[in-house]
Amino acid sequence: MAQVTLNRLTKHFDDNPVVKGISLTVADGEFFSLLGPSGCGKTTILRMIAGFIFPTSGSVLFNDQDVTHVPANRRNTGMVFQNYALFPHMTVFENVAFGLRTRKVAAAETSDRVARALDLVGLAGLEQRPVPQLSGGQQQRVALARAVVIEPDLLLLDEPLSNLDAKLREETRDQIRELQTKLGITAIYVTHDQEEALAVSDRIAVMEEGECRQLDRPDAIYRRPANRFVAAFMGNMNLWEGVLKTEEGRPVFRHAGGLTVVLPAPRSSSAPRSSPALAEDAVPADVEATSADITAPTDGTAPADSDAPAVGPVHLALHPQAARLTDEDSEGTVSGVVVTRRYKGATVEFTVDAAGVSIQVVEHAEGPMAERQPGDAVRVCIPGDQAIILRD
Amino acid sequence: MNLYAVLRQPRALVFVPLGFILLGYIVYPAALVLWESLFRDGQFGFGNYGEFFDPDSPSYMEGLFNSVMVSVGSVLLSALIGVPLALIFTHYEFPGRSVFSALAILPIVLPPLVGVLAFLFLYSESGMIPRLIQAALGLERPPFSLNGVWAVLLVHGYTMYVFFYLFTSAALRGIDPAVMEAARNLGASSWFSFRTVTLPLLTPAMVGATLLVFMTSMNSFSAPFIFAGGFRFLSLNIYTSKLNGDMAMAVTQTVVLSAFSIAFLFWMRRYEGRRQYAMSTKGTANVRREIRGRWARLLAGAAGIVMVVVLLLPHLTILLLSFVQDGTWTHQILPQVYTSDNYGRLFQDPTFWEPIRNSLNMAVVSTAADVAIGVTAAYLVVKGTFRGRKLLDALVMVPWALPGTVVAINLIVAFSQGTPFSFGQVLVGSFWLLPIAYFVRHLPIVFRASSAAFRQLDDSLEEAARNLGAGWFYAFRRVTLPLIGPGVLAGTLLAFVTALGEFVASILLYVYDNRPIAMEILSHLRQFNIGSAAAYAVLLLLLVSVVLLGSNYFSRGTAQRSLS
Repeated sequence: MAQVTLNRLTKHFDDNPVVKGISLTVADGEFFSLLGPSGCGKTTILRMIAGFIFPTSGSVLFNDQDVTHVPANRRNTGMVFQNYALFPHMTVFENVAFGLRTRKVAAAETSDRVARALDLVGLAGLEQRPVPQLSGGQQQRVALARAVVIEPDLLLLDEPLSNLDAKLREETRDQIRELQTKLGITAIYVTHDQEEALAVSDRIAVMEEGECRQLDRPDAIYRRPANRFVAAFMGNMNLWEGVLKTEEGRPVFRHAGGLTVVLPAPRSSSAPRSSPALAEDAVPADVEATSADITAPTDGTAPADSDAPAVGPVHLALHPQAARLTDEDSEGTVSGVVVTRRYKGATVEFTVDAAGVSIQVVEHAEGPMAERQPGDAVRVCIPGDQAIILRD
Repeated sequence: MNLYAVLRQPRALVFVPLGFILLGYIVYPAALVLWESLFRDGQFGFGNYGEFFDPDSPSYMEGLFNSVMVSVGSVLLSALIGVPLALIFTHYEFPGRSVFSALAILPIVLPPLVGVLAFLFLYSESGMIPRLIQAALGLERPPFSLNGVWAVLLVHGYTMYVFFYLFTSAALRGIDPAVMEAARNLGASSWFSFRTVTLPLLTPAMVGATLLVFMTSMNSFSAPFIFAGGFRFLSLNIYTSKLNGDMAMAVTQTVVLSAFSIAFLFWMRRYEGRRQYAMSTKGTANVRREIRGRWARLLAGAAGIVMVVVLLLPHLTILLLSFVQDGTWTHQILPQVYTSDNYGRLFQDPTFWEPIRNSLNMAVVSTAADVAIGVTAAYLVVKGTFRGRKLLDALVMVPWALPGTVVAINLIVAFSQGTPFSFGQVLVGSFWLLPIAYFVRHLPIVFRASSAAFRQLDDSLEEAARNLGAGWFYAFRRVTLPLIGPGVLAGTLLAFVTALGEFVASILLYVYDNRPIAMEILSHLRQFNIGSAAAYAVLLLLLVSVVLLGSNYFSRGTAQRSLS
């Protein structure tokens, strides 16, 4: 088992920087995700950890051992590839046994361990099947068995679910997490799917253009995105551009289109972050403890300005679940017209046009406002205490 | 109604001419040869075969044995050169790599006879290289010289490694690099992963190249013809038997050679089919490892330059010799008298153009017929649903297994009298027999290229076009044709180029009125007009290069786009 440390890791391809100085530590036994859009450098980082490519500068440490230039075949990592990369000319058994053959494990032990690994992923009995005859989901699980049978120090997963259909994806996702927990292997998971990352990870590093934009627990990333990029990437958040002013001693967000959100008065200087919403969150102590060994990106989102929100241009982010449809013309509401209505089963998603500003609202399907149709006039309540002010 | 439905509506209109031609020019001649080999002095039986396999006069057996041994040797030598080259150019990056990898296919533009001549002038006993070394070192005799089996082997290695190089390169490009990375990740050393993963995945390509080299080599005529000396080769024996008027033994040897070739083809094909893997999508991009370190780079560069020189030497030799005044190069190491007269005659001597015009005419006629028959047959075999598709496939591919000598003998035997297939005409001694031989020999090239193109063509594309309201002809013109065009064109041009430089069937079938370029080169050579022979060879080389370059240019972009 291993703790993985990346030390100011950079990678240039032909003078084109793809990874720009990433430093982070993955704890022993942790399920860690690298999340970001394609081209953000997440796969490049994974491949440097696997040893397929070597960093331009910086280092990779497994526990305290520098493995930056150790060849891939001597790192004892198990990798699951995006397209599985199964050996097409071998049977299921031969594929899973490959890593044991390279380790010169005795035949009897090999068949024993292969059988156990296949049992673990629910493929017992398919040993002699040629790989091309398997379904996509089965191939995926052979790849998983092949990666774990060697008892790796580190499990590397490169978008392992992207070739599966939606239903199978969720099932396999949970299976991977379950297996990782059972074996207690440190896992590094690369994905561009935020839901996937949120569901399985202990911690997530959100990447953009070779840089880490936020590194935190899933709930913290979802509820308190540190910047516009993370807010936009993590889902269909409302994201409005405007200015922050102080009016009558209270901070007020004014959108160019006329939308105004009155924010709660700043608290004492002990508030950990600049975002007003943060003040509402009771941060569990253990999160702080696990975050302690992270070298946080110094991109200015750290709790630097804990005083009253500075006045100036900002973005306001608001989860669609935080906004509410209403008929009452009370403070903190704006009038608008329903533009679209999407029924989702448990919830209904609305897009409301409020004087040129588009607002996403999610209502419970059983709620009183759920039956509003496109064209209906409604008011939208925007709770200032749930708004997140982003300067970056 | 799709194209197939249109084609089969008046079924007879397509199947009757197709059947007539395949039957008349492929099946009937071969069957007749087999039949005639069973007569000895008018007596039915296996007398001819008894003579062939007679242990007391082993000359015929010796020819067979030598042919097989040289073919096996050619396969080994070609693999030994071609596979490492492909591996190096695919896996490593160094200065000049792209240039070297492109030049590596240079031997392919050398028509058979031209390549052999270049080797003769370069490396034979009176060749320039051994004698230059002799002069430079003051030796009493040339340090080495090429002749006999070794010369044939070396020529084969030089011209045929390209098959291994191309097949292996393509296969390596087709292997998902992630599979290799997976092997590394699981702890395999470079050698272990090469042995257990790369090599097995290259098997189909290796089998394909082995097949091609073995067949080409069994079939090879020009190298033994020039270099064999006292050695016997089966293809050469057939030619001498025919020349000596011993048609009974000529046809018998023809049958033996065909039987060997076809048996080998089927044996390898079964193996090839068993080991074919469809690769899934690519997991990671192919990354070439850069060769670093000054010495390693210097070494790679130097090796590359040596390779280019060796590869280009034959081409340069032919070019040099084309400027030699006829009859002036006798005992000197290098030719002494140079002139541009050999080319000057291009513009003065009207008979100079005749062989070139003949070759072009026959290549155009035979290739046009190849396209008409080959493309139709490919469409029917790939997209058709009728019974007998397999039979049609086999019929069209038969000539592929038949050496050029065999095709020529078959046609001589079949058309030395009037037949319904030649509308009662005797074709031997006429202009037409040679273009027919080209047609038969190169039909499989067009057929293979076309059926590969049709196989890649997704039926739903034509359906989509039809769904959007296109008539079948419009759909064919705007969707099907642009997609299959590059593949068909590539096959067509290859057939055309091969016909231009054809030598094996030509030497058995030509008449003065249709003497092709290769025969003109040979006749100049026999009169020691080395300059004129080389000038023709250069023109042939130019024609071939231009057509191949054009083919590459036209098919590259579109073919790749249609694949992705």
